[in-house]
Amino acid sequence: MACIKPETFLTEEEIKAYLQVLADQPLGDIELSKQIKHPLFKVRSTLRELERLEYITQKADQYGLTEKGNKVLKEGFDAQ
Amino acid sequence: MSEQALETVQSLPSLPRIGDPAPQFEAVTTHGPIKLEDYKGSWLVLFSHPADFTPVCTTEFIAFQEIYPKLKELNTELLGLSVDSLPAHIAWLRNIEEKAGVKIEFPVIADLSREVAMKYGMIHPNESSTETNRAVFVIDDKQIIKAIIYYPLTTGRNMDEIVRLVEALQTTAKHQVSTPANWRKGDKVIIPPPQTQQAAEERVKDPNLEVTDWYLCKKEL
Repeated sequence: MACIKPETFLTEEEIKAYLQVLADQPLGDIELSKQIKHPLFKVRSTLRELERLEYITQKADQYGLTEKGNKVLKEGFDAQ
Repeated sequence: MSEQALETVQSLPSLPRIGDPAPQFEAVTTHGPIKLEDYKGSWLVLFSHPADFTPVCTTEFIAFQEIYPKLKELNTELLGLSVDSLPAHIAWLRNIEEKAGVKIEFPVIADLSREVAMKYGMIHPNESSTETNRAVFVIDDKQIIKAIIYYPLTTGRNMDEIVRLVEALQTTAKHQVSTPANWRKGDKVIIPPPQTQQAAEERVKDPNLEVTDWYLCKKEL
């Protein structure tokens, strides 16, 4: 066990990249995988983490930004 | 077999076999937490190695990375595993990149609790009670185990065979045929033997087949 654990395994760049794509339009995991050019397993793992962080929400197999996700994308992580 | 090894074997759960649904897991990896179900829709080569910073494993990781692009073309992902910690994995992968110039792009499970290793029977106590051996599980896009290979600690795996195996399994899945010894993509495949005398008589007369006898017939795909 590490002495201290970060809040998430994702980097800020990774989070922003996903949020930017999902800000344009809600997408499912397969469409997102094609757009962001990451393998499906990576996309699914990342979506699960973004949902846990409350940056995105799932509706009918599609993922879109929450208010918190929009705020982070517009104002940066320090604005949280 | 020592008494301790015998006790370990007896306490092991039944091991997954070909045709079984792959045991589900959620694991810490060098790419973040991953669930087996994240791979649904892709084929997966799940493999274990004994330990980080060991010589044979290092050559294998470089070789696995070399076949990774080819596997991706086959809609197949790679996922490594050992019972080392996440920091050990990260340090080792960075070391491989520094010393051999090869960046390992696939995730590696840090199975410190041995939970995944035990589910998949990757620890063979008579060889080593603390390390995973060189196991390979080929799991299809519906998460069914299609092939299993075990190598001992001393012997590095043959990457050509792993690619060949995936190609053969996918050919069987797509065309309902089998593949002969030493089959390579593009070679003729074996069609299922006839189930009646009448079908056998017709089979040997089929001009489109390479007929050795009624039970061994090959065709081009």
